Amino acid sequence: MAFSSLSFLFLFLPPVLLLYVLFRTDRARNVLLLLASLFFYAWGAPRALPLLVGTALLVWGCGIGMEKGWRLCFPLALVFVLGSLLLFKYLGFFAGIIGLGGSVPALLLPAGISFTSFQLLGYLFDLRRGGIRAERRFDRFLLYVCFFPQLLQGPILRYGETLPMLSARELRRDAMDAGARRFLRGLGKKVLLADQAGVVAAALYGEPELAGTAGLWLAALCYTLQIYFDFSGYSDMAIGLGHMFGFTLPENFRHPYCALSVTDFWRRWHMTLSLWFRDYVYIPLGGNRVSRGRFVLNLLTVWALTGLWHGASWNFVLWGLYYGVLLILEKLLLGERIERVPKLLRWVVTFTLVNLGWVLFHITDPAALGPVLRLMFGWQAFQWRALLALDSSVISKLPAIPLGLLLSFPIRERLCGTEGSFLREAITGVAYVALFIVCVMFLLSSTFTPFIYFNF
Amino acid sequence: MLHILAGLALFLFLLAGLTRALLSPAAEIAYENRPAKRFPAFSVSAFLRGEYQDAAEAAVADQLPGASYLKKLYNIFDAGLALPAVRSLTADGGYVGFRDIFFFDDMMTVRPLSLASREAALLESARIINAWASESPDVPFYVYYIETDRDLDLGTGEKPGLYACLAGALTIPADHVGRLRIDSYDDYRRFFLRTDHHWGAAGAWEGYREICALLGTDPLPLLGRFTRPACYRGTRAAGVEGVAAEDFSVNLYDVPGLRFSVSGEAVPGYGAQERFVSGEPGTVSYGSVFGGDCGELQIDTGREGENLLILGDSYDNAIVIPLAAGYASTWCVDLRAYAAQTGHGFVMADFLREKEIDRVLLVAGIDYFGATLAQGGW
Repeated sequence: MAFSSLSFLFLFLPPVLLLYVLFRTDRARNVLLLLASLFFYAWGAPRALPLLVGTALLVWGCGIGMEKGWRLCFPLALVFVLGSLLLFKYLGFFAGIIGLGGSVPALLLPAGISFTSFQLLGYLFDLRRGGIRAERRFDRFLLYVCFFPQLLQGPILRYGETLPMLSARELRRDAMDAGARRFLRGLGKKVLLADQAGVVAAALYGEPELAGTAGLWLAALCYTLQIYFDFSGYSDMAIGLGHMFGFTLPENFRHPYCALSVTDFWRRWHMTLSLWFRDYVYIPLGGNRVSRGRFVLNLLTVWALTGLWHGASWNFVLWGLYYGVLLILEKLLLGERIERVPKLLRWVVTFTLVNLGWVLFHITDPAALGPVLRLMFGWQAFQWRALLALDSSVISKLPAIPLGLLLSFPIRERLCGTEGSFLREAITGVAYVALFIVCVMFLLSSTFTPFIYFNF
Repeated sequence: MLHILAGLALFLFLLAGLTRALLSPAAEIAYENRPAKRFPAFSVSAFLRGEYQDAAEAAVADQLPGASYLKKLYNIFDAGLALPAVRSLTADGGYVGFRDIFFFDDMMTVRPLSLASREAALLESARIINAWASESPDVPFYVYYIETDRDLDLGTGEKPGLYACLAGALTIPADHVGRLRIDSYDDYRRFFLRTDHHWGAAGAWEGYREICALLGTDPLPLLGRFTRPACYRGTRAAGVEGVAAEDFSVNLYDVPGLRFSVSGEAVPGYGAQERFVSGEPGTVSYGSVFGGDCGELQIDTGREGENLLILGDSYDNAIVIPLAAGYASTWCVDLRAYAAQTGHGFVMADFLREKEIDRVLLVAGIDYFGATLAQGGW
């Protein structure tokens, strides 16, 4: 069930919220959240529910076994979690590499498997390091794994940070209010910006010869906006829902398109994933406290894995390695000197590189990537009249592009940063109600488009 | 306080969707002229297949209070931004797409079909007609094919040859086969409605005259044409706010008192042409004026003569009354609705024998000869 579906907004959320407020104890609220989360998952992926619950059960049991010193528990859980991920997400890809692609049956990818797997792996690694104690209650552990606001697309939670909230939390009106606003902002990002920019990107990528050089750069920009507002919109909704239920979920984005370097970009984009790879892969490999050659290898390994995490396709590996190489160049060649470059130039270069990265990410067909890149870096006229003649309804989606660019910067924070007057509060309240109605209007009238990160 | 009120308003709106969908579901969506989807009955197998969830999503979309207003508002926004550009682009000539239709000049059209996409279906239709005709050699069969914007590139004038494919495969006498010929944009504009796929009064009159010539009968004289200005928005304009309504006309004939029945049950009339001409207010749609799609419509003139069977779709609704005036009894069969409305399938030989049919006329366009007839299931 997607947060931007009418079923979620009108069938699922109202009764869950109402019951949550009516229930008075944390225990009852946890039971409600657990049941709601299982229903939420089953709604979108009913056949994958047993796998989710079964994996959680095994990891929970192995966690207790690890604490008791049973040595086999860690490898067993690790093999099961990674094995499931490999089987459902990567089997076809790896079989294809060794020429057995056709003989492998296509398995249905369980929604959110990459996120839940990483959350479970993080739990096992933390437990092995002794950073946390094993969870004794399965219901609480299962709620940690499948808490519906973050179940399908993160943010990736750390057990140590989540446990205090699972045990006891406060339901405050101001937090609910802030959560609802954050949720609505996320909904607006998804429906009014990401989906609209996505239509323009699809129209341009659908006719690359007509789009020409300028059109394909515009397509790259549109997809850049689409993926940011899609994913950060989901994260906003998740964090907002968390607030409404008394949880503080970690931030996932900090205006990544304001970044002045690629390193800076990755400190702002999908932060919980970057931190996961840093803590559980990069640092255990030795991080940067190794020889220069090993450092390069470590970075390339981490970024190849980051790319692969996003999808079982070569373009994702290429995209990951692209960032690996850029980061190596930044760290080893530019170093501190990058600070001396004017900020505007740094922003332009970084933003262009990020746009280019999303082209590698978006075009999964290797045969299509070459011609698109050739057109982007060659010259071909933008036949916009011919493109509009195919479907001029794309025009009504164009305002999302400048609006999206503007909202990629911390405009709202600057405008609404301080406590407002009564009138300002009134206008804000009305604006949020209007935002919701406009979102519903777009949801009713446009074809349902699932979140991009559902696939990862 | 304001936040609480705003929050409460939002929450009530959220809850309204749930309660309306479950407790008091709407029956129809007037804006889209279709029945409203209801909340589905739960079944585990449907849930496991995801069908229950899809049906529930569709039900919420239909049952949400104010959904039609919001859809209309979106369409105003969408078309409001796009249509000025459409007008500018169509001024240069050629098709300009908007959602799933194409503007050509100010006509709302579709692109022509390729022969490859319909060739098999056309040949199958021809085979069916040939088989019917050879099964009943005493009953002459006639085919009148209505060319539309699917048969012609309005810009280049190129034709995919859909009619030629059908006509070439028919074994009935060549002088029993005819067509409404559309060779240019001017032809199309003259014969068809601007916002609809149906023919207008001029097209229907042309078709009626040519069919009479095909059947060897005299057409009723055209007494005039009644036009109500700016009252009609066809199916192609549905949801495209900002497209002006067009004039709608009906041809006036002096038709003697007719008796109608649908699936054997007597009905007071078919369509509402008289009400339309009298200026009575009400929704003007092709179906409401010329009559809806009936599986089996019978028209009796009460005099001696031949019986006619017309097989076709909604195009024939506009000409069945003047056609029926020349026969004792006329049956109009729409295969799309026949089995559902009569409770049994259509068997040509049985029908001809039971109704004592003297002539059979098939009148329709590519959607019929290139799909309905060939697909079977009727």
